[in-house]
Amino acid sequence: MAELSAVGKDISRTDALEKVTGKAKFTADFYVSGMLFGAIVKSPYPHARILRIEAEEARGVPGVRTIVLPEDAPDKRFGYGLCDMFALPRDGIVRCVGQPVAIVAADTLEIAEEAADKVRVHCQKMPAMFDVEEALSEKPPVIVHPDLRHYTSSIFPFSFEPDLPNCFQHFRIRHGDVKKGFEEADIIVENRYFTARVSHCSLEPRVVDAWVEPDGTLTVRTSSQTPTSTQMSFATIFGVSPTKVRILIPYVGGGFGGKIGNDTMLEPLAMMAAMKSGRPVRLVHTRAQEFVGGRHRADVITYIKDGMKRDGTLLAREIRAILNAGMKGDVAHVVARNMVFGSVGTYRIPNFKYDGYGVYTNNPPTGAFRGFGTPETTWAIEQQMDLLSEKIGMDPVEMRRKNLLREGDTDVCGQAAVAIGVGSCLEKVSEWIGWGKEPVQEGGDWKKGKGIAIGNKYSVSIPASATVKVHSDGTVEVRHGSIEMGQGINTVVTQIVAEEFGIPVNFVKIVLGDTAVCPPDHGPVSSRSTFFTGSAVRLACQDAKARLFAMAGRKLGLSADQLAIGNGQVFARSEPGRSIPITDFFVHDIPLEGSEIIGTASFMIPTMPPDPLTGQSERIVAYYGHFAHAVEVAVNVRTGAVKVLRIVGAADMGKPINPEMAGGQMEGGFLMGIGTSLYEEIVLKDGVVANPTFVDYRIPTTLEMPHNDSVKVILNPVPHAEGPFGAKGLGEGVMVPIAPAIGNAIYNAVGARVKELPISAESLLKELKKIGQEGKD
Amino acid sequence: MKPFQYLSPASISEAVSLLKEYGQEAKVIAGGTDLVVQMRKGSLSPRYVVDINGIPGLDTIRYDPVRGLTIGALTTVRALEKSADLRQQYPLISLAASKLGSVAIRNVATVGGNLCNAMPIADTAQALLALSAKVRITGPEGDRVIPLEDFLIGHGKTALGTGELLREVQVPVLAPHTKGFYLKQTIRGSIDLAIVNVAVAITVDPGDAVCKDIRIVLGSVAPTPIRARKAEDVVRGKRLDEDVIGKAAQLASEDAHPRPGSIRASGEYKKEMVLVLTGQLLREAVSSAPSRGE
Amino acid sequence: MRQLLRLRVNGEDHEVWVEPWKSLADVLREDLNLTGVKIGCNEGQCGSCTVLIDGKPVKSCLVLAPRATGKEILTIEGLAKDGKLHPLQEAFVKHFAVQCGFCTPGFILAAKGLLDENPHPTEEEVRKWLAGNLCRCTGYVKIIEAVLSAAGSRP
Repeated sequence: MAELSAVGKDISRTDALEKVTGKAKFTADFYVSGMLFGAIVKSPYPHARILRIEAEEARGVPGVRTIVLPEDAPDKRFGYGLCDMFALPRDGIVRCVGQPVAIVAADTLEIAEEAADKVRVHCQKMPAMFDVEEALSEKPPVIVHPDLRHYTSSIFPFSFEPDLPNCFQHFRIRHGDVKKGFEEADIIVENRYFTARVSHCSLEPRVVDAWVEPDGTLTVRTSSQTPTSTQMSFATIFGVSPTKVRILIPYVGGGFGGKIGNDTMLEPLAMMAAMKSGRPVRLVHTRAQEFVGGRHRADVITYIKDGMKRDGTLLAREIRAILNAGMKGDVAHVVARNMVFGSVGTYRIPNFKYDGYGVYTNNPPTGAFRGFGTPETTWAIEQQMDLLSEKIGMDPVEMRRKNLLREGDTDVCGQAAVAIGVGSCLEKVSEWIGWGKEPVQEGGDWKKGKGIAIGNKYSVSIPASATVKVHSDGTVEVRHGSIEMGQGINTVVTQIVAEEFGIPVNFVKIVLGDTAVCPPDHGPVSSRSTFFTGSAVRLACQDAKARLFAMAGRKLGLSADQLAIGNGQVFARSEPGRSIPITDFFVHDIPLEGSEIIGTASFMIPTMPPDPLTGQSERIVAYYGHFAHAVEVAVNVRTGAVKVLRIVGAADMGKPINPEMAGGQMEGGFLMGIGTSLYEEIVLKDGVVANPTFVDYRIPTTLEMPHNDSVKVILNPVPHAEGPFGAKGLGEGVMVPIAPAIGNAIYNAVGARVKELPISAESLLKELKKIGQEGKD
Repeated sequence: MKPFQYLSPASISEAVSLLKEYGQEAKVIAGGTDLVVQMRKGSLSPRYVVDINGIPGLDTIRYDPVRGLTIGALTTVRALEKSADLRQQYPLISLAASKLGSVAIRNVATVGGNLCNAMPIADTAQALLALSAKVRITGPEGDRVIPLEDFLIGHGKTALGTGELLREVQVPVLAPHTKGFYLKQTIRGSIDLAIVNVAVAITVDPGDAVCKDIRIVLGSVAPTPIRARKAEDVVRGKRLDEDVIGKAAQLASEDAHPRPGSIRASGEYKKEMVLVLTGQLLREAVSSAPSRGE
Repeated sequence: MRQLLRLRVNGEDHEVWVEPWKSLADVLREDLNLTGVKIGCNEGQCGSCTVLIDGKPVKSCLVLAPRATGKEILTIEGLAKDGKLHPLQEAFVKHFAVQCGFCTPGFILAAKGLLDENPHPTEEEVRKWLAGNLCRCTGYVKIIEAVLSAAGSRP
């Protein structure tokens, strides 16, 4: 294969200059003439029936232009996965503290807030339920959605479990015979694990500007990850054609899964206010509102039972995972299903039983969070692997090696393992961390230890498309349907196009973030931008090139396969001197042959829906990325505090299109993993978020990341035949094994294991005391 | 934030008369790093905000070997951190100041604001209490000077009466061979609000290594910072050996009476951390270099 | 009741009438169109709103507008001179220290405050100084590399 000129190189980010000069615009940086400001009236109760709403006093505040009430909302339930919510509570029930009940739009934010305070919502309180296992029971004290059986799903078929009235998702995998497997096992380890609710904390809070164009087009500018599904959702909610909806998405200041679809409800709310007032309306989340309404990662309880032969072979694994979704199914409907894949993509397990449940409670809603359930599952599995290996005195790395899926093996879902590079990832991190060598102890209260964990991250298959246009000056314009939230899609696309056309990167122009102009795409979710959008772009380039080759072929008397393109010329492969400059295909910028020189393509991996009773399918996911992490920690035996001293992560993410950028994502993922392992937790007290502030919800600062020379990124590519230039993706997978690596390292240091995330100093100190390992005065 | 009227008096007397006139409806703003946050949250909605930053002479640090230290209320926490005088003569104060938030906050936050906000974890309060600081208050009836301990009377409450303004902090000359130590237990690095913090000022006779005097201040284990008096009593007059240190740490933990559960840590954990930190600080006192008349 | 605010921002004098409850961040963004100043939390925790006031990094969301009168303010827009990037800006580009870009202006200005005071900081000093700026994308590794590189401590 010829040496690549742009792909695989550390090309500077195409948006870096705009961002370091402050010119890059995010949604709140735009000014819309005549804009009103919205404030949301929220439910103070976790569960209540709305008796009446008094808005007269609020209407009387000077500067208030409109108040939107539940009766104004469309009579249509919608959702990204499960369609279980109205935009405002038309059914007269509020199901969590903070649920939007009405919207006030006014000349200034202060007026809107003042008026929102004056809207009186009279409610009859109803009993509320917060505990997820209570909610999952056959006779729960509260049924959160009594009409659940009538709901529909926009993604997979929805089946209602009559015995479990609060369960909106039950995903099953049945593979082999676990009962028999456990009977044959020599060793059984069974435990309960828990991962806390956490918040994305993207630095840019959600913000929406909504207005109705003179021709009636419902237009929204928003900080969102998903242009097309937001557009389709609007079409559903407001009962209009998608062509009458336009979604504009400029730079997004971080998404991490939190800005998917109409997840946050802000878009429909702002649009209703715009429609009713006839003016543009801006709705912004304060940081406190981000912590409440920001669709957190749900807390998950994982019960896991493993059976193993004395020689370390896994025989059987049984998992019961319960996701506390809060009051909305929506995206949680999908997370509660897909969280299983963490237990599918890595190990060879002859007998496997899985039940994953998505459950309603009266807590604030949850949604997608980087990893989409896989980190939660991996937290359990990777600690189990260490516990199992300890039972037989086997090295934990050896234990994992022994049970890995090999190329071509069938996993527990019935899919064949392909491009599975986790083995060499494991080798590399073991080597870097010095596995097998005791860390140098410094004495005193700090004890050091090392830990390792591996994992995978699937990517779902949702089509992407792209359009490419060749201009008379040799530049190539790309329109794709993804958005740029920091993950670097624009740079990756630029590199792919530059490679395909043999042009410098500054000859590539990207258009994105406008559904009126860009082709449909699901957006950067599920670590799919490079694999799907990148592939679509590459195919679109090839389509445009085919047209150019046809035109050039006619002039040169050659067929397409005899031609190549580069440096602004189409030329004969065998005789590069025989060439036609691109400019020659145009006269005064108009293409000679009439129509524009355009290539379009879409990219899709066909998958098969899993069997509803067994979860089996020949292809459920587009690909699995594989990851291994190792950490060295220090634990203070007097205070329980944990410091991460060294961290290494190896990613099998296919061929990296831009290695430095990939490395940057990994480093960021390391720290988000550290944060969600040690510091982060949304504290809920009777359905109220008790810590909606950066003061008490602590994301890591520069002080929590190990020193630069103690952080190592290893890109360990195993090219995937279907990805563009062999690329896969890694945006989420980088986080997956970090928590259990830390948990295993702590155990290695002090012999104590906390099974609930986050591992707070206090909880670890409690464990140390239980085993008599706490330091003494 | 609810609308308010913004007033900028040019002198202390003008400020005092505004505060007297508007009473409970007015709030003083210095650096604003606490007040603005509270106003935005809605926990405070003063109708009048009195900006005292225009009043001259309130932002200096003066040290005099006879009269001791005077710190103007508008002195920024960053200035405390960097002051050569403080680093030389009262390093405990600059150490505690350096632990408050991040540098951008310290550039703006003032010692007066930190004290008047009256949170039991205030970094500067711990150090100043350990050093027997007093505060000078100016009001309609004139000036008064009271011990800092009597100024901080509750969670978020000070002894300021209507129309009164904190104008400076006074710290006496330290007894020879007095050293200060400070530890702040946080979840992340020191930009966090503390779970607990402990300040110790200890005077040890270099000749016989006996502790002549000690003040131990505990933060975040009561509505105000408190003295661990039982712990102090067991150390005063003795040499700091492991036995004494162990007893003092235990008693300090007993002196602490935090609320059973706060969002940052349980009361039990806080008491435990008081024990750990007090022990660490006393051991640090033993192992630190001989003082140079600090 | 609006008040007249006189500010010098990025070397230019401005007079703006503002409500006193607006923050300096609001005024810079809305009245002077300097949207490079970002509001990430509005409670002084994330540092996205960091500007330099009289050369010192300050969280502009915590400064009530009238407090800024008579001050010399530098925002990210004022950092490049005559089209030439400041070494910190160049370093951030070169070292891939930018991902979503929302925290970037705040970090660059905070770092400028450091290098103006301490031209050759250690990694530890850079970490401590920047602890008041939050980033969710990068893990800080390349940001610190970029600051050290701009200081001439690393290539």
